[in-house]
Amino acid sequence: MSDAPASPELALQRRLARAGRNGIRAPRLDDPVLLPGPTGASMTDRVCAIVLRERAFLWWWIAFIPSFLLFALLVVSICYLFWAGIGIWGIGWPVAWGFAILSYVWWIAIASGGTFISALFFLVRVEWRTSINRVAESMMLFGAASAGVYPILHLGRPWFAYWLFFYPNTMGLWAQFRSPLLWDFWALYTYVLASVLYWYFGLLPDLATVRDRATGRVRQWVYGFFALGFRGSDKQWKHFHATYGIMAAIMAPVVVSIHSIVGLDFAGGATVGWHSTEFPPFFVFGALLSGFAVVLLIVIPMRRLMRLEDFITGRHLDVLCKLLITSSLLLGYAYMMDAFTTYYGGDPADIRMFGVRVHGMYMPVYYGAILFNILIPQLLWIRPLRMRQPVVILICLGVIVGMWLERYEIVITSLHRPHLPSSWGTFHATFWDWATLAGTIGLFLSGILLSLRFVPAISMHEMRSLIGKQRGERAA
Amino acid sequence: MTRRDIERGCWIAAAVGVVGSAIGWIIAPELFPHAWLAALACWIGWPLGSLALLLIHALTGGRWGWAIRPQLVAGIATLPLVVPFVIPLLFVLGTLYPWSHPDAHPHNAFYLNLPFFYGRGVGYIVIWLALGGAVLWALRRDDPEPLLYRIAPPGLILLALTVTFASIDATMSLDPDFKSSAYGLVIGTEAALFALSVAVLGATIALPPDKRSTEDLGKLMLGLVIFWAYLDFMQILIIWQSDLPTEAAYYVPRVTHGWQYIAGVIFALHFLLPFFLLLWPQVQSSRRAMGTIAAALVAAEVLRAWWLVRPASGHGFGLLDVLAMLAVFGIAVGVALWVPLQSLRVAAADRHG
Repeated sequence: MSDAPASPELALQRRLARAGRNGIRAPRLDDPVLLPGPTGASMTDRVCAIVLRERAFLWWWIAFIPSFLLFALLVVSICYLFWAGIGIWGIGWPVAWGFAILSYVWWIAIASGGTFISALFFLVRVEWRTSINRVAESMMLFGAASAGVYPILHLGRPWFAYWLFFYPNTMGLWAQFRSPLLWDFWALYTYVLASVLYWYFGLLPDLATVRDRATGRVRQWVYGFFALGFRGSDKQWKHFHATYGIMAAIMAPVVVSIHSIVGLDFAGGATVGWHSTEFPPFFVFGALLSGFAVVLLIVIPMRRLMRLEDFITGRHLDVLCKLLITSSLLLGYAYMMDAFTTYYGGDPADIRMFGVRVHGMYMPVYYGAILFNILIPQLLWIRPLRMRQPVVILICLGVIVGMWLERYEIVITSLHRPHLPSSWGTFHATFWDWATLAGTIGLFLSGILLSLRFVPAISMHEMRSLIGKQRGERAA
Repeated sequence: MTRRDIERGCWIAAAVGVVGSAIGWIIAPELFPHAWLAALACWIGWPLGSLALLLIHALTGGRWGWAIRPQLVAGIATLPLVVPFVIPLLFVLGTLYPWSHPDAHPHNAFYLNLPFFYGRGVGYIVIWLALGGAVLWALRRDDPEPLLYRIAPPGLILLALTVTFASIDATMSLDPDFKSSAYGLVIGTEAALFALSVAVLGATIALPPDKRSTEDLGKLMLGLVIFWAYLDFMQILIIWQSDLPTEAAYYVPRVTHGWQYIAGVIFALHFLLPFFLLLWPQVQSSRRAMGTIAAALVAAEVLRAWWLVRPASGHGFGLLDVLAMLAVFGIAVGVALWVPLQSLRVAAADRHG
């Protein structure tokens, strides 16, 4: 070992040089948050170059075309739904909440996970958030959009949707203010609006940077229009930082409230299997788990395809995988308490319904949720596995499927066995149920891909200050 | 006031408390069980919460943990007291838990039966003592952090499980018809907040942490106050909304006969006051303000233990409740001050100063 490195810094530099020759930098457990190579200017060049490319990457088209076709399927499904009514779905009696509600909850969890990463970790000032907060925010935005279409579709008579809004009560139709369903509607649209504002506001300095670097007239005009005249003066930065901090501080409780109220939608009623005091935190744990999984699913291919290995390093994968394990354990705790309280509480209908979950026709759904959400993520305790990107992707895909199964179990298994045995029934999803679900996946993916193409994938202004800080520390 | 004075004060309080509780047990046997359980339920949050905070800090690092590590370790060192403290309860289980009567047949007898209850109790105590012992043993090493880092994940999982079921056994089952799946989370968070408050209070009196550490402790305290309030509020909101007889019946004795005022004071001291004060950065970084808030939280936690336990007895609050609390805390704080910590690597200066 005559050429043993003199210092960890030197070892890292040599490793990077070797990796640079091979073209691909594999993530490693001992990676720092930021590899030492790039400067603020080179990072800005790299990120802007992606946005300002004349032609999109080939991989981008390969991903975008099927996503957009799925989105088109959503448009067709919605048009047909408005034409024919919700009878085209599999819902009926007793399962009156079907795919619309379960997919809504599934999407809002994914969106909330993005907000947690972006807002909560901003408030506690962790450095690794800087590289992935833009992705997390885009995920929040398009997750919220995919969730946001469902409540109105679910209404049956969508032309009365405005009854849920605040409006002058000229018809004397006061809504039931004690119902969490009403709170949920308000919370959801507050959340969607706040998400759009938070995402867009955080983008302003980066849009201004792209505007200044754009060469074509159209691009200069479009980015300039959306940058809202941000010039980077001291006064503007001061206002920007103060406002962004306040927005993050508002987003954190808003996201907890939205997902807790979704939990209350279920827990507040006396429906079998739903009345449980842990539902609000239980749903928040699920949101964290799906958020970490989806952000990993986006970040891993992105770092490779967009050559962002300097900024999204092994450290990010390590931290996100650890957070995935933690949220998976929290969810496991919630599953355990759900099962325990059912038998401890002793309500016959609850116990009967739980029996169907555990050894009835919906058994695969229940065990699938446990397998994908709780058991398989525990593989990530093995440290080297956290750096095996295909394995992490498979585990995260499993979590996304598992979270959907969990929602299926909560919504459909509970409803199909109400208190009155004469009302028991089953649910069969129709083509249009699946088409709408696939369509929202298309909406989400199209949105994410469009944002990766036209919006800086890394928050450049935050990254510049992180690079500056790290360089300062290194110099000191 | 020197450390020795405080220690002496604790032993005097403990003596008064123990003698008073013993006399109370003889002359009012129907009042003693709940008084002792409330004191025990309140105190146990301190060592267990300290254990949890120390293990979380071993995983995450941060200034806050170094600033209060001596106080957390002192809290953990009181854990063996659980054995003598539990003994009086074994004689009064019949009065405490209606489900333990031979002629009672609760619907959840698969869980609430005496042999299983004893078995679980032994299990909790063995796990807690083993965990506490492992942490103290790790701290005797020159560099305890790698070992603490390895103990932390399984330790925290075990703590979450044991605290959940111990809280169900000890206080939720006072009303065997009541069920709340969030109960363990509420009690666990409360324990962590209580331990943090005691540690901050202790640090303020002994050796106030520097300004930046105080600020971090303030943020952590604010986070725990919010999380606790959120969990407890969700529990009561869901129960109020559903209005089911078995669950509403749990809250009725706790919001009548004067207990509603205690609930109001707990709400003010355990949430409103710390929440609104800790929002201010000036308060977060002020050692004096943090000490005062920590004291308010400790007081609120004592009130809350009485509020959770005493109404289940059907009797009102009395002197015996105060004496039992005095006995348990007198002994525990006395032991915490008496334990020699010099041989352990706990001083903040060793690590990052």
